[in-house]
Amino acid sequence: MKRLHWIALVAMVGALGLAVAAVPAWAGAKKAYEQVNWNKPKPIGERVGNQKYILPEGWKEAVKGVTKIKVSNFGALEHDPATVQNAKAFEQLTGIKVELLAWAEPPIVAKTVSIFAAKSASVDILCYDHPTTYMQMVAGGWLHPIDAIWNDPGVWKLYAPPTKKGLTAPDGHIYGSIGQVKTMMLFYRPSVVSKPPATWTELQETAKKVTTDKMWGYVFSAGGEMDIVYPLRDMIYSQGGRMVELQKQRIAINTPEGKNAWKMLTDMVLTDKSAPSSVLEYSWMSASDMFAMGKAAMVVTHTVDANRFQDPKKAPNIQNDWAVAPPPKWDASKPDEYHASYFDIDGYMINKFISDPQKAASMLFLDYMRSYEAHYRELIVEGNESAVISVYDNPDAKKIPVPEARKAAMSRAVLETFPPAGRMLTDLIKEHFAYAVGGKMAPMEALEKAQKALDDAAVPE
Amino acid sequence: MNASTGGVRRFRLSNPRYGLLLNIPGLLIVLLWVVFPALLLVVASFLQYDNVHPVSFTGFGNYQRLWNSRVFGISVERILVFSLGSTAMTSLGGLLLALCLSNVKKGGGLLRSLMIIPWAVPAVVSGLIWKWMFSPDFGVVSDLLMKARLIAKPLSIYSDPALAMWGVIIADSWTRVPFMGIILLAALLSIPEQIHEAARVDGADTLRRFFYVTLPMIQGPLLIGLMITTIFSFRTIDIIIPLTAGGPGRATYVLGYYIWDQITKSLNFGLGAAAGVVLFLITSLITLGFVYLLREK
Amino acid sequence: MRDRILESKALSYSVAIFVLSLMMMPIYWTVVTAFKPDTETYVFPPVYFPSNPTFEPLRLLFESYPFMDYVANSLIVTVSTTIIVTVISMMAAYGISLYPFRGGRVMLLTLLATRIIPPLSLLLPFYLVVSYLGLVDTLLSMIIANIYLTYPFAVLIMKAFFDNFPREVIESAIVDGCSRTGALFRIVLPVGAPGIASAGIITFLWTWNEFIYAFVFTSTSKAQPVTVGSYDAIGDIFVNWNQMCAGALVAALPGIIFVFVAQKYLIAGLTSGAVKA
Repeated sequence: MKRLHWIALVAMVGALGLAVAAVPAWAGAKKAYEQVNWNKPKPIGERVGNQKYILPEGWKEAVKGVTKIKVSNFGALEHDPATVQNAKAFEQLTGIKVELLAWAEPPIVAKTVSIFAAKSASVDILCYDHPTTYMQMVAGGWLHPIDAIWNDPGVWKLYAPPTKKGLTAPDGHIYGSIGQVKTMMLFYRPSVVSKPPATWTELQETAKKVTTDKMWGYVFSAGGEMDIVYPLRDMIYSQGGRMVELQKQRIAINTPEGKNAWKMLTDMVLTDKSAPSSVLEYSWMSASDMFAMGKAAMVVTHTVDANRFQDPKKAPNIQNDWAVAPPPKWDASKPDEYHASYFDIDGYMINKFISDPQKAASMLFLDYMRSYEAHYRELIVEGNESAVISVYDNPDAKKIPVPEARKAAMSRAVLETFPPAGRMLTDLIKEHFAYAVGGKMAPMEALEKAQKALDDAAVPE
Repeated sequence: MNASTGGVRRFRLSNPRYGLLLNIPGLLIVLLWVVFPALLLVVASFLQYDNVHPVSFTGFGNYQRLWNSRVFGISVERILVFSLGSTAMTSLGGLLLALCLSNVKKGGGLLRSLMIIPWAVPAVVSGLIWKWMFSPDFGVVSDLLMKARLIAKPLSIYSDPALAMWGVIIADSWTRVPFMGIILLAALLSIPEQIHEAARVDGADTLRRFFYVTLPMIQGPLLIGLMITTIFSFRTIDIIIPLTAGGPGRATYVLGYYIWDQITKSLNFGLGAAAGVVLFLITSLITLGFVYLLREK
Repeated sequence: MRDRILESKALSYSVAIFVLSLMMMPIYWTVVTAFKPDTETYVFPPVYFPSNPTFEPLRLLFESYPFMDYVANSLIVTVSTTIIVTVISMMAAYGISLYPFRGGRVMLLTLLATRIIPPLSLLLPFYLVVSYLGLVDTLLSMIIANIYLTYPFAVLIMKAFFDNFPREVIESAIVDGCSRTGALFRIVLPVGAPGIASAGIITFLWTWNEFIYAFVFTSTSKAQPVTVGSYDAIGDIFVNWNQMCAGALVAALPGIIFVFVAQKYLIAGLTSGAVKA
């Protein structure tokens, strides 16, 4: 009994002593990541936008002790050679090892949430695959703010104009950064479609004309989680509209632009019969697959799919018979800026439960991954887009298909962030589109019901 | 009665106490692993815990939301259809196989093994296998039906809600037939031959014998099999997740899937807990119903 | 005449073989696809008898995904759970069946009741506890979950066997100087091995096949078992059907092996456990 008392006493004294010793360390010291001077030796925009990335001042002290950072990656690494190369380059620059974790798509949100809910420090940087995920994580309060690496008006000029709005959370802070970007382009078969349509209305006409019983005029996907949102969104943007009313945290699809888009998509399946009803089954890869197998004349998909269409093993039927055009604007009356498409960011967020030096190292990684150097590899090595627009002016950019069109697309790309629980909301859109195409409801009625469901389900404030 | 070595009297528990002692670890498991989580579930169902707002008490708020929720209502209707369909198909298949296997001797062991295999495969893998079978572009089901001239074009369970429900019912009952089959087979084999003989002597033909002698004699195990199959098909979504993911539209969006989405997609834990409680209440009702039917058997 | 046909062995064999062939079709198809090259996979009508069987899908499977890790995780979780559950349920059943105590009936009823609570309902509270304890993405979290999922049924199976165990054998051993626990290990275990094997095998299979809890609790190959691993394989960008079938085969292997090797025990366990329910 007595011995227990002694042990308890010693433990308490020890703990008190430690606390007293630690207080000065806590009180005045700067956090590790605050030791980095992001705007030196040059302002962030110049450091990051330079052809060769320039490390910020003070980084070495800030990351002292960090040997490794763990970064989740969206999908298997073999699909992201540029990411792998960029990670290696970062390693060589800083000496910090980067361990990329390949996480497959459907569970990626759940896994990310598990880490946060457990307050786990097991992963430093979490990737997000859609801005919906990003906003959800922001709402959960799990992210480390990274305003410091965006603290230069010059850095925003490197990217498409909507980027700043898209990355800024409702509380005014920035919690996310850019990893990979994609945008959509129109792919078509020149042997069937002599002149690529410049507007969606033209596309609809062309699709009707070229449909045969062996080949659909146009395919899109409405089967995977967020898939139907892509064509809807592109069409809405091409009319100059938007899908999200951010102040009200509301998704609006029964706007005039939304109605036009919905009608065109359902018409193509139901009336024109230029798109198959199995769009309800297609994930975003399946639509490109149909094009690659020669079963569709046109498809709007990510630019990176060009790699697949080029490969004779993966797309034997369309070799030398496919071409790329910019995403259409709605109709001839709209200005050219409306050749717009969705700016698809796969980005990075920093786990707030990791130690301060790890945070510093993570911020450095994020700083690097959005740089000219990193996006040069994205564009030239992997065929993704470059978020840094000036990369398209690099002479090497000529090696990739249609660099000018892509540069134009990227400069006009639109980024909207969805409210939290965005995936449940887009499920409602997917559900009602299925009712419309499946014949369970008249198309425009399905749209109204979808909007009502969206409003009912909106997270109450 | 005393175990003794050299006269030293050892401390000895009475028999009942010994039994209790052996059960303490098990008791701990039940308390910690089941009772505690169950309480947690109920508590969580009364909280607003949606990972967007701070956690707060909300009384029956979640339950009200379920009551008013269109999607939740759909999920309840879907699970009833699914469970009924799967149980029916399972019972027919299981009974048929059990009857046949009770009548064969040679090779019966091999046939029984084959029958059990679908049960032994992980359910999620069964979902993947059937997804491949039902593939609209490359699937065996479409091909065989076309070869049998029953359909003209490949069918897709992803474009037609009714087909989707049939698809998951078929896949689900495929995994449940083994269990039903085993239970019924054991029951059939336990009917003494004399009973059949006596019935034959009394002039009953095969069909009459089946309905008036065999079936009543296996009523108990049959009801148990039905109960277990119904309950399990009510609460497992391992098949649906890979096969149709609740779609197309909400065609296969069963109650379990609603809970799954709340936990993994929309992260509204309070709502998911409330839905979990509702699921438990419904399965309890079903169980009580069957227990009532079984009470005299 | 009609009766003779209905009762004939020929009819029984034919119907059974027909139905079982239909039921085995998915298995056959999966096995066959797992060894097909891409050119024979993505075709319609499908190729039922591959002419160029290859180990390529299997090889690619282990290359593109950390499948070895998945298998190792499954093995560790399953074996640990089986050992723990078998030992505890054996002790518990021995106690309940042969040394009844006050409250024993209540315990049994509670065990039955726990089987009624749907695992999906308790998924959330378990997840909250596991997160709170910092056990997300660990093997331990799955062992914990599977103990919950398998223990009640294991006890019921064991109890059924112990109920049928000849007590006189135990009693005479005790009279001869054996302790009760000794009797458990020296008498019951060897003789009652089939019953214990049944419970053990069913526990093994249920744990190996578990998906829902494993999916929510784990996020990386550090802890993911084969069930989650094979599901992840279809989520990733392109569905490689032949690789998926190879993965499905690996995941289904223990089940299939047990069916052929230990069929008796499986059946005995399922029937006794179910009937006693």
